[in-house]
Amino acid sequence: MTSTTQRSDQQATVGAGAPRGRRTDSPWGLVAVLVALLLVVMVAAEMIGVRSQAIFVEALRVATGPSAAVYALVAIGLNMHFGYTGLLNFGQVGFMLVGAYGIAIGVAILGWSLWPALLLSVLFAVALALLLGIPTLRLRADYLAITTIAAAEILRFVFRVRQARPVTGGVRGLFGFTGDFYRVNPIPTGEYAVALTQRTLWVLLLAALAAAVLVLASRMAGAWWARAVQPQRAWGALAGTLVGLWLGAGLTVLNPIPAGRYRLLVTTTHARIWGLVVAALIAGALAALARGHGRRGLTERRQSLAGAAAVGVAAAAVLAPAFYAVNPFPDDYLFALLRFSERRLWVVLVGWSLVALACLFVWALMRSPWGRVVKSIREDEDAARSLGKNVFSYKMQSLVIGGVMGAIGGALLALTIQTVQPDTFLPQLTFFAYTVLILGGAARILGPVVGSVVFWFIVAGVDGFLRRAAAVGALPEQYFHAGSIGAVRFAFVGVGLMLLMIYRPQGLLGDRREMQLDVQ
Amino acid sequence: MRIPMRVGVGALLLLIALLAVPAGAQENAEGVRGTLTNQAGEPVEGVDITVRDAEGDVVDTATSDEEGAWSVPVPGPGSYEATLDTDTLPGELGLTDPERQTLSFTIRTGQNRTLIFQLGERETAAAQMFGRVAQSGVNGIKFGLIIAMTAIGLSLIFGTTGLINFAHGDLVTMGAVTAFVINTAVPGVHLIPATFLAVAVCAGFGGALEAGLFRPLRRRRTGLIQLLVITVGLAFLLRHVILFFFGGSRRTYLNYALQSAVEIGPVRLTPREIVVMALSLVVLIGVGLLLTKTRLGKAMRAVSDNRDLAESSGINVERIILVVWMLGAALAALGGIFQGVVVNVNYLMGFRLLLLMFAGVILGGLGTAYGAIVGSLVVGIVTELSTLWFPAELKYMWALLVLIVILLIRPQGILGRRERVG
Amino acid sequence: MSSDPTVGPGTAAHPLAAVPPEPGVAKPDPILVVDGVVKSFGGLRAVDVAHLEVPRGLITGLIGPNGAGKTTFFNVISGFEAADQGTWTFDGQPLAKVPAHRVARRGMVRTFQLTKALGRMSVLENMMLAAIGQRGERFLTSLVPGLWRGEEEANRRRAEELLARFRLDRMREEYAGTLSGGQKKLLEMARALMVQPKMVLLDEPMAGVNPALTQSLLGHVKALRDEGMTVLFVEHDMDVVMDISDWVVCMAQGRIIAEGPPASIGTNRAVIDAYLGGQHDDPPQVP
Repeated sequence: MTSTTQRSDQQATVGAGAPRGRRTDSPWGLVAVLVALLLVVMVAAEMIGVRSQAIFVEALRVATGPSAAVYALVAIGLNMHFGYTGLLNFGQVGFMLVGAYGIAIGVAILGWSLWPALLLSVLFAVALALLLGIPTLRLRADYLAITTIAAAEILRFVFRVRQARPVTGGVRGLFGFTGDFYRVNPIPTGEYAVALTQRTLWVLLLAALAAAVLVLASRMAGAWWARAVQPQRAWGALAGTLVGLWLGAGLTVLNPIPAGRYRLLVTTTHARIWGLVVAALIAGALAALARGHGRRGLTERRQSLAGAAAVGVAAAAVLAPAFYAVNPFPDDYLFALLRFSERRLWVVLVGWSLVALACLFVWALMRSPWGRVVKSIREDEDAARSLGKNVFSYKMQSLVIGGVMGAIGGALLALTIQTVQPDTFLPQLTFFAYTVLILGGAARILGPVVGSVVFWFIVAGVDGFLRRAAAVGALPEQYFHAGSIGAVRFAFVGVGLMLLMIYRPQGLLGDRREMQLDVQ
Repeated sequence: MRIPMRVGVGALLLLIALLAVPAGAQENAEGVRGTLTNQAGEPVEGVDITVRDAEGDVVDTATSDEEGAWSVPVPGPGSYEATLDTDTLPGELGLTDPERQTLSFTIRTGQNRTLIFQLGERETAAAQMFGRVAQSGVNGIKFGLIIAMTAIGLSLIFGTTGLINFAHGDLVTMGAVTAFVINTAVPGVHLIPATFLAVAVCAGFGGALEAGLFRPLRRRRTGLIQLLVITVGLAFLLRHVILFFFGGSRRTYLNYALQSAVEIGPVRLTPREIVVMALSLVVLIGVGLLLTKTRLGKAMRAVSDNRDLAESSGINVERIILVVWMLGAALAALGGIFQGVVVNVNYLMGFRLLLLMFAGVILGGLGTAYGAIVGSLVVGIVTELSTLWFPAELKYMWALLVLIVILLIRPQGILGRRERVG
Repeated sequence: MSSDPTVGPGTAAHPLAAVPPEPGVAKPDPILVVDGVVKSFGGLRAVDVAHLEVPRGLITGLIGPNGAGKTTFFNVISGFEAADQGTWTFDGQPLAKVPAHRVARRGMVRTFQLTKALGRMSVLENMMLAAIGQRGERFLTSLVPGLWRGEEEANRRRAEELLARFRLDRMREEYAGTLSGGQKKLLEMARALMVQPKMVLLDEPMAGVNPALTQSLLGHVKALRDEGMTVLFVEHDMDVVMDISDWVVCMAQGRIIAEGPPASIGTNRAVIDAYLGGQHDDPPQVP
């Protein structure tokens, strides 16, 4: 080849492509909008005499509760369909329905115990996916949408009809199948709370201040004070300090040193000694990493971070008592963020554990060659075919996997509300799930989770505000009663979905360049 | 001699009743009764009526006496059903409406309810069947015409912009509700001028949607899937704003509400149903003529067929799209008002119709107006005919099944073009 | 059977030297034999090929005016569209009604007129996707990284070699959508090679490529043949066709109207008629 061709080979129009892994797409605009919304609601609440703290706590309760976990699961399934494979499945509620009925029928009608009934849910989901997929996966995206929504409605009609009563309970549905689930609850009876003690608040406050300073320093990298702060390492130090403080508070349970005061250079308690020992161990480990030991060598940057973290841990361990001594918050100050009964705590733990498992599963899948094929199908089916990939088979697998997750979400819903009725599973649930997915960011592992939490926080917050405002009389009674507040919630979701799709279809975690929403 | 006997028996019964009922409770008076007469008003004797409770267990069976009267006491308030045993009817009599052989009803505390079983000349099984088929068929055509009117807009919007408008159902509801508001506002306006006003308002709304929302998005080259999801959000918004202001209950217009049915052969229709059917037909024919005979119509079809070609032959595509949206919204509104006249107005009526519209449009061929009409009529007829053999709750299901089947066998529909659907 | 690169078409030592330049002529050692394939669109016969044999290990050019059915022909034999009638065999195995992905697995890989570089995946991912026989692509095995890490590494090394050969290795982490038009063509070609095909169908590989890059691409195509691969490519640029083809087939209105070594095609009456529409002095010849 001549030199001219060599040069032209290397000619590259360096497009907008930034090196992979670094997102150029900042979500902070959307975050700012959401935070602004929150502030508006809280201020408005205070102005009409409603306690905004109560609204906040209630919204937090819903956002971390079983509903959010259910929708996270359903959205993870939808993420597999729509986010990763490009299938516009508008019938996800159908999978929720069969999942919920699977567990209910298994226990209530067939008399099985919990696990086999859950297996029944999964089987139903697989069967539905196959039934749905074999005829329809060849269709274009918008036709697939119509078909799936029709199929989900057909399912609902069939489950609802009087003739199906012996199996599905007809319109009334089934109940009384959750006994086993609550019986195996290992959590002892009682009230539990996630609360901020005065110590935690103090730590959080200072950490927030420190973080703000560091962010500013990162942004103003040129200024003299920014360079002195050394933001890169300072983050490590901050993380280490927080870990050290937390450890100092938390690991007392494992303290093997017998209680009492000891004299080693200074008189100190067993707790302090233990805290120092633990801190020394961790700081030592981090320092070792910093020096380059360990199984896999870390990059230089991470080494310096580890070193800074070690310093932070050590500093925290040594300075903790002094730190807490200057705590301005009163001793008995307690801010309860969340309260749980042992039943609710159990459901919440189970739910979010399922979500974590599902995320792990999807993560493992998508970083494998299987995931690569699926992503290529989303982008261009014919290209995938021309490389020997059986597109139909992969779409079907994706449909099954996403459907099973939707079904598990449905089963969790059934366990939470303790009944299953066909009219719970209306098409709007699918669109809620889509809103959750798009808000969080499609084709991102944590998109559905973040989306669900934020979605429910907003919805519950607005709901709570409207209800309280109506109770206080700030809103005209004839319009704002229980039924119509629900309508406001739905209308709100509709507006939200529209705005999201118009202005920020990649949601909070997504990347605009990876957006695959076009249909050809 | 009889009087003291009756008193004695009555006292005894009262005693038993008092003993059987827990202390402090009222005398149990719940029950159901009726009088059976033939079409001449003469009492019919010896007919069995069986009452069953909500679980399907028999409460009691009564036989009509020489005055045609029957009564069945029920154990308490609740849901029940009464079935007339047609075998016990005298030979020449039958139920005028064989569907109403079993009547479901609820009893409140202390209520003694009257049920009416209409008796008339017994038809042969074949004549009965024919009558039922004819009635269902006509109901199907009536339903199908309404769906057809609303579906044309959906089909045309898809044809000209490629967008499947999930908010179309709620444009239907909007039309019905707008007419309701105008009709019932003080001072109330008669339904007919209210209809014109409502249609005009909705046409304007449709145009505003196109000009204010979809056109700028199209200019921005927003993908079709994105637009589709936006229409979903819009549907949500519209539906629930309507729910918020209108409420969740079913309402009817002030005019033409109570009418008695007219019998045309084996088929019974109320005058408003006849008028609605006739008007729908007129409107559909009018739209058909618009599309075939007028310049505007031809331009619409051209844009539907091949947008770029239409543009390069001088047609102002954006203007055509605007007209399509306005026309589609107007037709949807009109369909909604007709549906409101024939059935009732509620906030979900349009969404229910949406899936049937999809079925009709896809069956007939997405993108063609004639296809929308043909497909919608088929959907309407299938839906109503299904009630002859299958439970009425499933009637919409058949249309949806037809939709899925068509997409498998012939995705371009009956009249559609063979383009890539998959 | 690879050809001797120093022996050009039209010379006596060329493997096709003895083959007469007639449409549908049989050839020694054909890898692809097409019989009676017809594809119609609404009454119009887009493809109507009575007989065609494509010789193994050589470069065959497919030319013809726009609308002659060349791309449709590609689509049909590679399984992207169903033929109305006809059969064809690839390496002796019948291929009619075999779906597109199986055709690719059997060793016939095609590229597309509008490049289908998967823009939202990196160049390297594009390449790794193309590797065949990946265990990690199966659902169950994908969940256990240990089962596919090894082959992934091997594929990566091969991909990097190919990228280096096509001078795309510097762009390996970039999104494929940011490549220039010519680079995308190179990527498609490199990606097709990852599949280790026996035959490559190139649909207008030079379309939209600047002339300087064309030479480079041509060199790559010739190198493919030299490695024993069969190449069938559609092209409009006559210079390109004449330059690298061992054999040329001309289609018009769905039919094959001429075949022969490149030199003979340029003067072929039927070919000239097809391109110019028969508007000249001599009466058009019936193919």
